[in-house]
Amino acid sequence: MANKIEIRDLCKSFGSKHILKNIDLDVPEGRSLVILGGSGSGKSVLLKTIIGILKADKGSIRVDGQETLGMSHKSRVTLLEKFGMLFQGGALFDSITVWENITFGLRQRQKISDHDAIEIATEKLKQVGLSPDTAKLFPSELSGGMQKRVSLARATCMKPEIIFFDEPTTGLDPILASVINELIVETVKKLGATTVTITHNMSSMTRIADDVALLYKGNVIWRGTGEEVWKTDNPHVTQFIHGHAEGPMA
Amino acid sequence: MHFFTAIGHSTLSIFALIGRLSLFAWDGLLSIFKAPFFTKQFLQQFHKIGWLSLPVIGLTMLFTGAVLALQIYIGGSRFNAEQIVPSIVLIAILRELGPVLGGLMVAGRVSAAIAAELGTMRVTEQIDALTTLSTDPVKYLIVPRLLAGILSLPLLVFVGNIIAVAGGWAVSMSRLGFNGDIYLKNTLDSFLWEDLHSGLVKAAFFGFVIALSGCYQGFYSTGGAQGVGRATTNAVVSASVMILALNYILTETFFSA
Repeated sequence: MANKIEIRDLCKSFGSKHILKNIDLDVPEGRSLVILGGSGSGKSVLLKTIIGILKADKGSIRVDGQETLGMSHKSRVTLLEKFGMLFQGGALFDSITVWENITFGLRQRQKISDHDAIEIATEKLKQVGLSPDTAKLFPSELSGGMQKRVSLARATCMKPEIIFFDEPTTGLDPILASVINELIVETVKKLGATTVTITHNMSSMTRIADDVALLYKGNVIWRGTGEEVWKTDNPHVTQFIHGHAEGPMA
Repeated sequence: MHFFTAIGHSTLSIFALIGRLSLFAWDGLLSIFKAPFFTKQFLQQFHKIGWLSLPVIGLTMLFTGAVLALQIYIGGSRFNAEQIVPSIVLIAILRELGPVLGGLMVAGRVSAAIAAELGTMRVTEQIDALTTLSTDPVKYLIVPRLLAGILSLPLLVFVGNIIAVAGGWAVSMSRLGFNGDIYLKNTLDSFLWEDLHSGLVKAAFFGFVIALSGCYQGFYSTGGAQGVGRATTNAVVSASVMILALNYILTETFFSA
């Protein structure tokens, strides 16, 4: 299976703080990679560097074999069309309605009437289990769970090839978290997309992951499949997944 | 040694800030001329910065014109020169008080609002979300605000100038015993296009720095709610200082012999 994303020797610092240290990571096409790691281990920075929101200091990030670091603005815009992202807090635009949020990316790329956009948004809302009435509300009128669903609808509206999930179930109750996990799995299966997910939530990891990587102090210290993560005797992994206070990551 | 280190550190920080702000301004200005142009965002900002600031500008200029007439009358009467009230009110308003007071009032209202809005968008990752949706945040968020600032402030100041002159006229008639028609005739006789132009050009520059300051502080806001609060304060302070400094530079440029 070809790699959709290939990361080599990736480094990123903020001042004297080295956040990512020579990261090597592959994401095969059609697979779902979950990145685990404690707070401050560099997970979000890694995700933002892959997308291009943050600039890497050195290294290489290839998407479909194409080097993305140092690419022109035009090429970057084209590359971003392959990406979808669900942000930790939803990151819905406050000043526009739900349907405008969902079809935002679409309307930047092609001219569509408001009527057509509302229809597309309504269809997307149904897919994430929300009623069509939600389309004309503003994000501030939605609950946290509804915002996550709308954000998922926005992330998948353009049928992206690669979807990034930044802690998709943070702040949700266990039942809603489970619903969001199922939605992610279903949506990704429908699209046939490659996904990279950051999470602390072990039930999310179990449900979503084909592959798992553990990030610790800016390095990938373990890599395996979703089944292997429960069987490995790597002390870092066992401490993290069982949530032990004592261990090498303490 | 610590003293010199602190001075060096502060100096470097100031230069770094000026550099970053200049690059940000340059990027924003260049982006005005690049497609796509977000007309709806521009009109929304024009409404927020221009139309919604009108009451603040109107009240400020009304009272400024009125007070100015009273003060100049008192000062002028010491030299038996009460008749200069209409001329001085007009010149002071058109050249200085209109653009500077208008700019400062709008800075307080608009810079803070822009910084708070963009700062909140930054800390809630909405600006990052724009990038992932293939939209340049500078073009979508900064350009409409800069352009709205540059275009709306001269219009606001123009309206404010008329209101200020009307304030001076009303006080002069009701409290100082001036004949209304003669006051207006003297005002019109003292009018020079150069005075109006210089004030409006100043206003355009002030509109730019007001929007720039709010955008810069909000766009690079860090540290959650506290950071947004800090960005808001910094935006108003830096916009006000830039207006006063720029006012001197522009006045030198326009009126030096």
